Amino acid sequence: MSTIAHGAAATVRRKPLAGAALFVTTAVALAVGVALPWLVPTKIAMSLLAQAMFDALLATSVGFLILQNGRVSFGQAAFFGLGGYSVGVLIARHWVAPEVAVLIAIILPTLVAFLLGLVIARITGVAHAMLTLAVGQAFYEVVFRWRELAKGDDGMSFNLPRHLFGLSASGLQDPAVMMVLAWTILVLVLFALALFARSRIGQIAAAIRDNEERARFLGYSTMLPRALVYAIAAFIAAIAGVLSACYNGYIAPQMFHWSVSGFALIMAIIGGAKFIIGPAIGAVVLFYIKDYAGQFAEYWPAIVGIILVVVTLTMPRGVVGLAATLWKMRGR
Amino acid sequence: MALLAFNDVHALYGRARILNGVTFAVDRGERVALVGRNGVGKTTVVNTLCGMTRIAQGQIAVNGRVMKDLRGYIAAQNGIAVVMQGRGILPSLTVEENLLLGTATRRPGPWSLDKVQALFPILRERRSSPGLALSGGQQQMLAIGRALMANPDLLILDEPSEGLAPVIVDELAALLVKLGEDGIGILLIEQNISLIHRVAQRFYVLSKGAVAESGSLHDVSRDELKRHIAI
Repeated sequence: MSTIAHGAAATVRRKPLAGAALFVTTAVALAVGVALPWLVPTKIAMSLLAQAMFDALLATSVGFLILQNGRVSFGQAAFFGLGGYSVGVLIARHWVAPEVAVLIAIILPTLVAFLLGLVIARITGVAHAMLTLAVGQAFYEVVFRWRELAKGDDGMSFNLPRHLFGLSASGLQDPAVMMVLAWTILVLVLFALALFARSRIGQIAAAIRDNEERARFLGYSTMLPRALVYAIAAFIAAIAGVLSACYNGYIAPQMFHWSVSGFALIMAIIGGAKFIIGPAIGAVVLFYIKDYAGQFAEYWPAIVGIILVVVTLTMPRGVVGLAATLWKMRGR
Repeated sequence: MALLAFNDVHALYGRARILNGVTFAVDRGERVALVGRNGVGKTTVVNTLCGMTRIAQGQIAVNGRVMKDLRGYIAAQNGIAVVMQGRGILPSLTVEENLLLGTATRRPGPWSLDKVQALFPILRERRSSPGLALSGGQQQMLAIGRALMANPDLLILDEPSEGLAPVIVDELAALLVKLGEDGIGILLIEQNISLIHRVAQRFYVLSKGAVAESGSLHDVSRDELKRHIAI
C-alpha cells in the first residue's frame, strides 16, 4: 500500500472547540451569567434577556434536530407547550408536589417525543415537516378546545408554590433571578450538546444524518438514535416551556401554536443551524430585532421576513457561520 | 457450508423485477467475483442482502442459516461487511471517527484500530482530517479499513476500482488477495478485468438479473472473461 500510504500527510483539526477549550468557554459563560445582574442595567432589560433565553432554548432544540438528525421540525412548540402546561396544570390543581410537577413537565414531553420519534423519524423531507406540523397543531387544538383543562383559549394563570426544591420559588418571577437561571441552563445545555456531538452516540447520529443507508450497512439500527435525538430536543424545548410558564405564571394555547415553532426555526436558520450555538445566537438576535421593530412598526413580522431572506441569501450558514468564516480569514 | 448463499433469489424494486433467480455461493476464505455489464443487477445483489429490495422468491443464507430478517444492519451483525460503490465516507466525521464507526457489531476478531492503522499508515497520520479530505485511493482504504474494523467473515466490495489510478488498483488487488489468504471471504463486484483476474478464484457472470455463467478464473483468459461480461 505504499502509494496510498504516503499521500499528503497534513493533519487538519476539524473541531475547533475541542477538549479544554470547551470547558474553559463554558466556565467563562457561566461566570458571565453570574455577573449579569451587574451588567444588565434595568429590570425591563433583564426581563427581555430572560425571555430571549427561553427563545434561545427553544431554537437550540429545533437546531439540534437539524444538526443531529438532518430533520426540520415545524412542531417543536408541542414540547414547549407540553412542558409549560404540565407544570402549570399540575401546580394549579395540586395533583402532585410542585417538584414532581416540574420533573413530570420535563420528562413527559421527552417520552412523548421519543415514542413519536420512533414513528416519524424514518419519514424524510416535506412529509416529515408536515407530520411535525400536524402533531404540534393537534396538541394546540386539544388545549384550545379543552376548557376544563386550563380554560381553553383564554389560558390559565397559576401561582407558584412558596418553595421549589427547597428554594424560594418567588425568585422564578424575578427578572434578575430568571435571567441568571435561564442563562445558566442555556449554557449547560449547549455544553451538554457539544459533549453529545463528540460522544459515540453523537457520532452515530451524525453518521445516520450523513448517510442512513451507510450507517445501516455498518450494522447500526438507525431508528433508536434518531428517536433519542428527538427526545433530547424535546427535553430542551420542555425546559424552555417550564421556565416560560413559571416566569409568566400563565399558560395559553399559543405556547403550542405552529408560529412558535416557525419562529424557532427562523431563529435557528438566522443563527446557523449547523452550529450548536447558532440557534441560540439567532434567537437572541431575532428577539431583540422583534422587540425593537415592534416599537416602530405594526407589521414587524414583515421586517423579520426581510431579515430572513437577506440572511438566507447572503449568509447561508447563518450569523455564526459568517463569524466562523471571518475568523478563518483573519490571518490571510 | 457456504458463508453466503443466494438460492434462486428474485428481487423487486417496487414492482420492477431486478433479480430473476440469482444463485451463487461464497465459502470462507474464498475470493469470488460477481461480474456483468452495467444494469444487470450486480449492486441489487448487495442491496437485497441489506434489505433495500424486496425478495419475491428464493432465500439468502449466511453460514447455512436462512436470513428471514433482512434489515440493513442484520447483514453486518452476521459478519458481512460491505464497501459500497462510492465508498460511503461519512463527510462530517474524521478519518478516525469513520473507522471507529465500523465497530458497530462488536464482533471479536483480529482487526482493531491499531491494526487497521498499521495496515494503512496514512489513516493514522490523517486521523483528525475530515474523511472526505482524503484522496480517492485513501478514501477507498478508509472504506476498507472501516469494513475490517467489523472483523467480518465476508467482505463485499462494489466497484472498488472505480476512480482509482492503475497503480492503486494494483495495490488494492494485493491487499484483497492477502485478506482472502487470512481467511476473509471476498465477494468482488467489478468490471475491471485486470482486478478480477488478480483477485478472484471463481466468478459468476450476471446477465438480465440471473447468473448466466460461472467457473474458475484459472480456466478462463482475460479475453474470454471479457466476452462473458459482454453477454
